[in-house]
Amino acid sequence: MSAKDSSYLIAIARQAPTELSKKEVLGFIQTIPTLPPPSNNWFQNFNLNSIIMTTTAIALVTSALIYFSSPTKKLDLEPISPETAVAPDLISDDLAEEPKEAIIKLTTIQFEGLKELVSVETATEIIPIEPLIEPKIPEPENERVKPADRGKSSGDPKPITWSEPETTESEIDLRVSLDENQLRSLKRSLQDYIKEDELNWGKSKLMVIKYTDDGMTINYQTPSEDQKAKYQTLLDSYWIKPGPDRHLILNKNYIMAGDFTEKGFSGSALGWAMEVTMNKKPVTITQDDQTTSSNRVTRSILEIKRLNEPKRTGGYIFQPATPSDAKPKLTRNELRILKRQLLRLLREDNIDQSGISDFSTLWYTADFLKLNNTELKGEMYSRYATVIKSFHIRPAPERRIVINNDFIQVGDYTDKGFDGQALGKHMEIYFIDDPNGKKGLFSKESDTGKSIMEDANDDTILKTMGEFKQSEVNLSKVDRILKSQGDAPPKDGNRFYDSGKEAISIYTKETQSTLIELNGEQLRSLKKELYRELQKDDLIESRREDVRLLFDNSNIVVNDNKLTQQLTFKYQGFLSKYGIQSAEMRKILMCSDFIVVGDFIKGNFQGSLQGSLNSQDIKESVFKQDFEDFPVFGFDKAMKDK
Amino acid sequence: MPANGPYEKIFAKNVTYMDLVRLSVKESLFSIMAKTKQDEFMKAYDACHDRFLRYCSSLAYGKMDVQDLIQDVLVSAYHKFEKIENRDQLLHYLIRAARNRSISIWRKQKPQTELTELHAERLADQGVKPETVLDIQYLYRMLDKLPSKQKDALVLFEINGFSMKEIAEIQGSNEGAIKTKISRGRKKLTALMKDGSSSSVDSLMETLQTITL
Repeated sequence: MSAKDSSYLIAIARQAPTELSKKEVLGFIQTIPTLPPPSNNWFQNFNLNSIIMTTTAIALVTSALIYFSSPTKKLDLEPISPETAVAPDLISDDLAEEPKEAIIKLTTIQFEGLKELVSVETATEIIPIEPLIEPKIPEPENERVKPADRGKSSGDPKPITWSEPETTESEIDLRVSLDENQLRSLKRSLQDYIKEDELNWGKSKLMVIKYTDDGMTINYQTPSEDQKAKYQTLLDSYWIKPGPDRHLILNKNYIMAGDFTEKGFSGSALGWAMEVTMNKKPVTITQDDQTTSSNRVTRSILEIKRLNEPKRTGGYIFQPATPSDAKPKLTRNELRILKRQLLRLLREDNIDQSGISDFSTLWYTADFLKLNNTELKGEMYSRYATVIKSFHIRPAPERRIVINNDFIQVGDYTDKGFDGQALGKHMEIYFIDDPNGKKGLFSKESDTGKSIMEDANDDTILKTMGEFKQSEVNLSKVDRILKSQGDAPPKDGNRFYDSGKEAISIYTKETQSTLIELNGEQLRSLKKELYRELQKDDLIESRREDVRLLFDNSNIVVNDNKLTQQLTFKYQGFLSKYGIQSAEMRKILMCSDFIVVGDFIKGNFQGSLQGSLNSQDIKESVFKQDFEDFPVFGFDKAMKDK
Repeated sequence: MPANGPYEKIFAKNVTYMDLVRLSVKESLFSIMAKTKQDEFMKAYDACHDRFLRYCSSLAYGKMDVQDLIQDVLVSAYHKFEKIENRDQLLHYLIRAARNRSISIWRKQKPQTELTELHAERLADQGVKPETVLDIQYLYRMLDKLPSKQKDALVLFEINGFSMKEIAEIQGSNEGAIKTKISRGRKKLTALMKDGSSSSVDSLMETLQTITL
């Protein structure tokens, strides 16, 4: 049979009679009324395929559930015999009430954070009963302990590991030895549990968990069996076993887990360095028990005080304390509020903020608080100090708050520069070269003997534009400019500054209207395009080459090569797009690290720059001739120093 | 009186004369109503028969008895006749129902010889010549190799004379898609026929022998 055309076959099929005649079908239709209606039997939807698929899916889900479901843990709840349980009846009657504030007697408060713990008016003491037990753990050797890292303190100080004392195996098992993460998570868990079980100590955030062989108390309250089991399970998961002097003491700033004895703390801790001691003193308490005998019982009082440095008492992990004069760490909102409050005070006191400085300075040390160099006393002192302290700004030798309507700066102003936080716009930092060698920020009430007005022309203003995105590091751009290699003084005269992505503009009051001022984006774009053009015109070999572009009268000189008239015209047009016109002593210096555009005139540089500058590198480059006579961040000195 | 249906409850009671009267009235009404519906349905079906049958034949070819398919569809359509809003759309309803029914009954069954023989017999009873039967069966076999939607569209368009718009309504698609399906179906059918012409000889011979027997 030959292949027939499909259309032919289709035509045949179309015209052929139907398989069943109309009569037959109509005859069937007549019988339909007698037939039952079709049932909606959804069982028809079931076929072997659907059954297999459904069964398989159910089996998989069920087996996964069985496999991954954790077995219920059986808590071994040992019945507590009255002998071993903490005896609440030993606590005196007046202490049987809900503990109020000020449970812990503080001997020394070195910071304001513990203010919540003390309520002088309601100095109710709950004195727990502690049996006097000699510590078993031998005194550890401290000689091999590494000193804490005293570098820049950050929000998350790192733990330091101490050398392990020689102990027996059984004692090793008893030690509390947790790392930073474990301590953090343990603290979090304990806080959540205690809050959940309403075992808080009133409004106090302090939590004291005693975990001895005799039992457990939480904030000197005996937990229920279920609660106890819960805490035991938690502590077991961190390998914290009960011990004769074992306590966990924590609040939002620290956690200490270990043994607190008369000799000190031994265990693991994280956060502020605290000294917690159990001082014993004889106290008479009437025991309300069946024996009806009153005894003079030794009690211990928990004393907590903050330390500047961790005390070496045999702990295993300890956290170096934040120094009391640590620089402030304020959020953006806090800076805003502080500025508002201080400005209000200044307005009330009619403090004149006019003049060259256009700002006020509060100099806040441990010995005085000066406003625009006038020492504040009495009521005025207390008003400003209250506001400052409320933001946890601590006094320090060079701590200042500089404020005006546009900005606020809080930090340390030293000869190295400014180190702190700031918020605002059009921030200007004045550096005054004083013949006495003082540098720094001065208000108009300067004690230098010169008025600011006279120094106006000598002022070099560093200006950076752009928004401060991070509230914690507000002056990062300027900070980097003003600091040299961190806190340490420059080594061998080397100076290093980094403006980051933004540009720094340097000018004086006189020249600010006429100088070249480009922002970071413009400078980076200029650098990129200029490199491209120079390479295209074969004026440089690579885009990593150092480029010195000078404007010499009507010509442009690139790396000591005078350009042709045509190229000069081309680059003049190119640079004019960035607002850079030809001018005497105007230069563009650029390399892979930075770009500097400005005027090198009269021993001064004024212009804009972006990038990182290292005096050592510059000294060894073609740029040495440009920097050695111009005090750009003190590079002139660095060029000359050996 | 049939044992099933709406009469059972009535006969469970003690029947009185009035009940009988009521019953007879009801019965009459019922039968009148049924007759009316039946007539209407038959009248509506009359216009659908050819296209519906040809469609069912191509659908059921080798898979099931077309009679069973038609009866199932018609019973279902009859009982839902009141719900069919547009009685003119009965054909579309029948086509859809037949298609759905075919999907629910079989997936990929191989053509069954008995059914193909039955098909051939029926066509022969209708006076169709044997070679025409062979051609038709060949066509159905080739159509069966097409993807179901292409086959469906091609059958409805080419054999049953539905417009693309109607096919789009039946299949719940759009005209453009139907056009594409038909076009591709045609191309593939042609290709299949070219490829299958040699291999089909044996099967055709087998069918021919069956018919003549």
